Amino acid sequence: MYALFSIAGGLSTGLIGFYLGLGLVAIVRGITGHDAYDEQVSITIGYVCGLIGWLMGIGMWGAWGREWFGLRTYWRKAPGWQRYFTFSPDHKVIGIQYLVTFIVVFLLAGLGAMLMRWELMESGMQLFNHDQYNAVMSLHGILMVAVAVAAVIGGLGNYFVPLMIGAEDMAFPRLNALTYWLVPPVAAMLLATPFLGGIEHGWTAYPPLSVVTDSSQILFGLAVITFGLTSILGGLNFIITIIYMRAPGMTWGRLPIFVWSMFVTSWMALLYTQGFAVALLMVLLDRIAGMSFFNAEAGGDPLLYQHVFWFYSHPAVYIMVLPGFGIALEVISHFSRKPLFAYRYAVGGLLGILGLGGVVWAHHMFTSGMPNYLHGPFLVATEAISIPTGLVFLAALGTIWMGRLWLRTPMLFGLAVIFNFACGGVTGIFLADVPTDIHLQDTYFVVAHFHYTIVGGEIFGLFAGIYYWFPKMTGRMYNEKLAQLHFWWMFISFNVTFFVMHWPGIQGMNRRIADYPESLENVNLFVSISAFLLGASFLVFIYNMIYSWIRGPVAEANPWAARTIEWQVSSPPPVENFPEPPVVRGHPYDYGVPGSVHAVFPGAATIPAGAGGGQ
Amino acid sequence: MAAATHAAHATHDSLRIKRAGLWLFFFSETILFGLLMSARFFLEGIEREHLDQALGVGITSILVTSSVTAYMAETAIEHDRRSDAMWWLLGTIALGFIFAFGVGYEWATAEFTRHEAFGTVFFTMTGVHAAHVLSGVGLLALVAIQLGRGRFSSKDHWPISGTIMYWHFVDIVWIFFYPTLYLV
Amino acid sequence: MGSYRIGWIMAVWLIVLIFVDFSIAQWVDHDQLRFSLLTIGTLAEAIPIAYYFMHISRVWQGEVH
Repeated sequence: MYALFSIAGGLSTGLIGFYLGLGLVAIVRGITGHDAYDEQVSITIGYVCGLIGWLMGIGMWGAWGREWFGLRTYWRKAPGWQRYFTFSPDHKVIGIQYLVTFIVVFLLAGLGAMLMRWELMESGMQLFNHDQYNAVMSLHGILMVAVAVAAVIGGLGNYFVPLMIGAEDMAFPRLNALTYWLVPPVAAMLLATPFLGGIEHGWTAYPPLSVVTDSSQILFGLAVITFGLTSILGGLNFIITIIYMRAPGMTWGRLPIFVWSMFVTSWMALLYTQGFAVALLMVLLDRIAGMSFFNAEAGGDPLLYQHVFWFYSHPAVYIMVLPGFGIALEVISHFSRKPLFAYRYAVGGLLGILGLGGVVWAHHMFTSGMPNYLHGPFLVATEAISIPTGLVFLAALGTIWMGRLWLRTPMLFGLAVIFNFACGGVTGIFLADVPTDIHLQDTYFVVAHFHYTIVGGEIFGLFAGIYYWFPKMTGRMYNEKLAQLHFWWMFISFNVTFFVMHWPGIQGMNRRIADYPESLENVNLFVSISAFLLGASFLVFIYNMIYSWIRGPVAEANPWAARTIEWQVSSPPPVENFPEPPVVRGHPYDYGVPGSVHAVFPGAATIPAGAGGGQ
Repeated sequence: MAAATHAAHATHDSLRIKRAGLWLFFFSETILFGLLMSARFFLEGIEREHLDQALGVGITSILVTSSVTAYMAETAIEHDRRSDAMWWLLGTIALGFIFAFGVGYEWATAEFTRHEAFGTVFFTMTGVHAAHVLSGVGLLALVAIQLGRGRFSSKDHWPISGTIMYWHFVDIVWIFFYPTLYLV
Repeated sequence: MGSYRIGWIMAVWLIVLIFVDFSIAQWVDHDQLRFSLLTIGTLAEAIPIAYYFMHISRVWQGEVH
């Protein structure tokens, strides 16, 4: 009832805002002597007003807006599961909200991939026409980018960063809730694009195509700008939380590695996300206001878009993959029962990626016609980034070395991250080198490469994190046999699909194109079938999650006997996180080091922490 | 006593967190404005178009003056001088409006259109900045209303300080935009 | 130095610098030199605003009145 009330309130104020926006445009255009309705302008203004209405209606007005006018604020408190449908300041609620939303988006976007592979089973056109294929391809791309950017950061990051540093909540709880409630409009806008003709420019939206294509581009642009706002504000919140909210004794050298990876990622989101937003703002202005950022006739330059866009979108791959590294290192240390090897170097590696990540963007533009003298520096910078990445890898390998590996599902996924990303890193060398890149640019080699890095590096990390923290988030244990089945099924079909996909790429099969020469039919049929197998593996995951959340056996507070602080409270944690504030005494990963403790609760009668020497 | 110290420590801390968060927000906005400036140099080099120089230097002086009056308002509330603070705030709002009208006048009399490259960057940069000015005026008006109702004091003036920091930030952005558009 | 006095000194400093910038733009013909001088002039306005008006040091020093 509360849930229905909350969502219906948000939707109705959102719609009122949308129509107010339309009316405003109609009045202004009527006064200045234009038609009352212009699709692009009306949608833009209507969307902005509708977005504000939606946020206020969902609960931001009561919790925040009233304060601006000096009124008393209030929260809508809903019991049980219904709190997931309200504007809640609790980082644990927001983490679950993000996680469930993005798993749903992930499955929808995955369905798009299945449809694409269906079309690509044979050469020639079967399922779609070219426009429909483009729409599905673009939607798959942008939805998956959204999942990759926000699922780990928004979901697992929100839930576990405050718990791992011993804070009672994020630094700005209301801002946190705001960032989540910006997501449903983004998803709705993107899913609405097929009804306005479908986006056909891929997720990159290069002009001039994005300037001349149909009006669904407006929805795309507005959605992505809103999503950028989510990303920036979320990053800001994480940075402040990690700097100012750590428990006493939680020095920078004792920070769990997942928190470090979130810290670095948040800086990247804060520094670079504006690139995508500004690039799409320019496209919007070119479309709506007739400006000429990208109109070469009037002195504009389409290359400007690519520079501004890749200024974000290359660092974005580190925004996606670094939390995956963080989870992998975290899990590998806990399940190897060893101190994390070369902790300082791993942190240095993460910081090195932060430093170098901003100066490599133009390696996406080797064939775009930028000046030749830029090729060398960007080649060198791109290859140099493998040095800090290598440090992270060596830390993982050194931790595994001589460890007592406990091969539960989270550990399997953690090890898969290392394996898959190594494959993705090796194929990346060919794309960073200008001579080979000129051949491989925009082929399926690129598609295979970035699926190896992002799916192999981050999505496997996401699943490692979900299985690892499932007992903590839900208070119940998942089914280990089904989880292992999911892992091996997904791991094998993923590798078969994308390893084979390199081959048509080397043969010159272009990405983003619905048709290809008949000689590549066999290999494409093979890739399609293994892709369907990969897609089917998620059904096991979904069944396991839903069944275990409702019916699974009740989990202990610390089923993995892990040392970090989030495992020292009950599962799921109480609303205030820590009944007694924790004090940190030592390093989080000192498994087997005599006499070491990580966190203690001085106010509590018994001292539960510091456990976890052995299994 | 211990509880009181603890509570005081908590509010002090949360003020510090808010201040740091606002600075990070400025940092993030700086990148946004920096990208717009880079777009201007990318498309036009350091060519200068003909603009109304007298108007430019005039509105710049007005915006900078408004920053001074905003500072005075903050200083006044820190010394518990409410009515002084109110007058300085109202002055700041007025100067902000004059600046916005100046930009509007420049838009109306510009010798180039938005369809050509310099017009594109000029209207985008001034437009995005003017949107920030207007939102700043709105925020100043909100805190001025609350000040009029007797809310703030030297102990509790974060909304005023935060809004005024935002105002200074918008001013700094213009200090960079002005040479970029008018002088280079 | 009193807080109000800082305000008045800054007012003079900023207005003077605006006119210095303006004069540089009118009378310096060398492109790179003009660009560099304007950059310096701009920073000379922005940094004092950040320091005196926006109290940037309170981020690491805490609130002092």
